[in-house]
Amino acid sequence: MEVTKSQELYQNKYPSVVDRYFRKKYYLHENRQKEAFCILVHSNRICIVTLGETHPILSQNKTIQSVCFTVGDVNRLDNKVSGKAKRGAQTLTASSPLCEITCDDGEKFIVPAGMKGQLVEVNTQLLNNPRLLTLKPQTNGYIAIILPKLKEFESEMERLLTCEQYLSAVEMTPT
Amino acid sequence: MDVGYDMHVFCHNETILGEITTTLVRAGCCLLCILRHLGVRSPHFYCRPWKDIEAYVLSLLHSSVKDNENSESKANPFAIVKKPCTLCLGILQEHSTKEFFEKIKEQGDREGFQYSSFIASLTVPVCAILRQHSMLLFLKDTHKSVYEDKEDTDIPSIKDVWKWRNGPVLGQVLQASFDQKSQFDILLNFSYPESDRECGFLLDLKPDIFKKRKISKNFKKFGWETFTRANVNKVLSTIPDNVFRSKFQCPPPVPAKICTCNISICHDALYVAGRYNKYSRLLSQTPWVVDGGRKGETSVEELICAPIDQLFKPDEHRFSSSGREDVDVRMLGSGRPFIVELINPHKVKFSQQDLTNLQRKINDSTEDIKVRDLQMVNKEDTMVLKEGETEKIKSYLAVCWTENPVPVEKLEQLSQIQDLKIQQNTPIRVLHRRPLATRERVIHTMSATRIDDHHFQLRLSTQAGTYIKEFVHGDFGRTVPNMTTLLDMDCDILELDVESIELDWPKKLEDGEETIAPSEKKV
Ligand SMILES: [Zn+2]
Repeated sequence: MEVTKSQELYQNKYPSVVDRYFRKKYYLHENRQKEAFCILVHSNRICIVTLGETHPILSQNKTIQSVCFTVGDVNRLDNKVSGKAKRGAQTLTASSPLCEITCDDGEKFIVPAGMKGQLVEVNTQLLNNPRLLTLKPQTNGYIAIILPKLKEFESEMERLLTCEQYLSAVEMTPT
Repeated sequence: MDVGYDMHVFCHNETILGEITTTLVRAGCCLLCILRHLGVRSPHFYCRPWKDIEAYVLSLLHSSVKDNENSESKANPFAIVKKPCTLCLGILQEHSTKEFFEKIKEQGDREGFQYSSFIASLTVPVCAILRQHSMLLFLKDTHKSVYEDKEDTDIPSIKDVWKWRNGPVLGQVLQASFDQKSQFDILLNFSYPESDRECGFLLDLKPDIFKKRKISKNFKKFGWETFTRANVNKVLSTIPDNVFRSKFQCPPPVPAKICTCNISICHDALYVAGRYNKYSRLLSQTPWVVDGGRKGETSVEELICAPIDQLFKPDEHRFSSSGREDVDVRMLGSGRPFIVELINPHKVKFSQQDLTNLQRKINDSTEDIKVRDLQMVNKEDTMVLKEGETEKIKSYLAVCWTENPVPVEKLEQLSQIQDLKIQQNTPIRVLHRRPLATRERVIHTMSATRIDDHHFQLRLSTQAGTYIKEFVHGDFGRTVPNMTTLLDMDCDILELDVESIELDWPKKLEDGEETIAPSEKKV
C-alpha cells in the first residue's frame, strides 16, 4: 500500500485525546482538601469527573476493592436520560455524591459531582473493573459524565479551580 | 347570439331562462356569475369574447322582456358589468381583465422569474360561500321548478370559471402555457374586508365548531383566521334553510366594493445533486457557528451553493448529504453524494451543459473541494439519499499511533477480522446534541500497513453511522471493542480520510471531469 504522508509528519509523542479536546478544572473536597477531583471539560460543555492527580487513591497508589454507585438513598445506576435534552437526568450539585470507592485497606472515599449539572452517565466499567480508576484515571477510569445547564456553565467554570490554582492549593495542603 | 352547439344549461325554456337572468341581473350578478347560475359548464363558452357573452345574456333578457313589456328590467347591459358582482365580488370582473393579467406579468418580470408554463391557485373570500348559498336559496324561491333539486356544488365554482375563462388569456399575456402540471404557481389571494363580518352570525349559531379552532394547535398557524372554507362549509351543511334565511339576506346584500388581490408567485423547489470531494482538514461541511459567531471562513456547503444560488436565484437553499465528515477529515475517492434543494428558484431553464459549466465554476473557485456528476434530479430521487444513510458501507483510511511499538504480527492479525460487531455509546464529542444510546455497528473489514514502530495506516470498511475516531481511540472505553483493546495497547488516531461511500447515486455522468486529489497542502 502506498503511504503518502511525508515522513516529518510523524513524531513520537502527540497530544492525547484528553489534551486535544478537553481542558482540566479541579474540585477539592470541602473538608478533606487532599481529595482532589479533575473535571475534564469538553469544548461542547460535556464534563467528565475523574480522580485528581493528588487524590490519596492515586498518590498513595491504593488498590481498589469496589466501586458502589449507591450512596445514601440515591442509586446513580437508576439514572436514565432520554432525548437530546437528556430528560429525566438526576440533578447534581457540587457536593452530590456520585459513588463510594472502597480500597483494599478498608478506607472508603466518596466522589462528589464537583459541579452543578445533569447526570448523563456513570462509568459502569468500574463495577467489574475497579482497577481502571488507578490504571487509566483520566480516560477509561472516569467516574461520570455531567452536562451543566447552558445558563450555569460559565459560573460553574468560574467556581472550579484552574490547573494553577489547584497546584498552589495542593502545595499549601499539609500532608 | 348563436350558441353554436348544444350547450348545457339547467333549463331549455328560453322564457324561463330569461326570467332567471332578469332575477340574477337585479340581484347584482356579473356576466360570468349569470352563466354559472344558468348551469353553463362548458369551459369553451366561458372563453368566448366578452361581447359574445354579453350578447347572449342580453338575448336572454330580451326574451323575458317580450312577455312583460312594462317591466323595469330593460336592464342597461352596462349596469351588469360595472357594479361589483354580489357573488364573485369582482373576481370574475376586474380580476378577469387584461389589465389585471398585465399586473401579474409585471410582478413576475419584476421578481425575475423565468417560466414556460404556469398554474394559478385562487383563494376566494370565505363569505363568497355564504353569498353563493344565499343566491341559490333565492333562486329556489323565485324559480322553484328549475332550482329545487340544485345544490351549491351544482353551480360551477368561481375558481373553475376563473381558470376556464382566464387560463388561456393569461397564457397569452405571460407567453406561457396554462398547465396543471406546471411547477410555476401564480397564487392569487383575494380578500374582502367584510368577509369576517358577514360570516359572524355562524359564530353565534355554532360556537363549538369555531371555538375549537381557536384552541387547536393550528391556531398559531392560522392566527386570526376564524372562518375557513372547511369549517364554513361544514356548518352550512347543518343549518336549515329557514334559519339561514333569517340570518343572512337573500339575495345577498350588494357589495360596496370589489375584493382586493394579493399576487404571489413561486416556483416549486428544484433539486441539484452531485458528489463532492474535500481535500482540506480545516474546512467544515456546513457553516460552523459556535455561540452565534462563526468559525472557519467558509464551508463545503457554501463553496458548492454560492455559485448554484447565483444561477438559480432561489429564495433559499437546503444542503443535505449522505452523512458528513468532521472538519479535519478529508473526503476522497468518488466523493460524497449531496443534494441542494432550491426553494422558489427564479431561474429554472438549464441544460446539462449549464450544470457542467456550473460544476467547473465551483471547482475553479477553490482547491479545497471538487464536485462531480452535478445534475438536476427529481424530488423522488432525493429519497435515495436518506435511505442510503444507514444502509451503505463506507470506507476510511486512518493514520494511527501507538504509545508502544506495535509488532507487525499484531497488525497482520487485524486483516483476519471480518464483520466485527462493536458497541458504540454516543461519542462524547456529540453527546451534547444527540441522545445517549448504545448502538451496534459493524466493521466489515480492516487492514493495517506499518509505517514505523509507532505508526500504521488503517483501512476500514464499516457500516454507515460508525464513528471511526472513537473506534480507534475508544472514547474512554465507551466504544468496545476498539483498536486499543484489539492491539492491547493504547492507540490513537492522527488523521482520517473517507475513501468511499458505497452509494451509487446520483448517476455517473459520461463526460464527468476526472478529479485528481491535489497534493495535500494543509495538515
Ligand atoms: Zn360575478
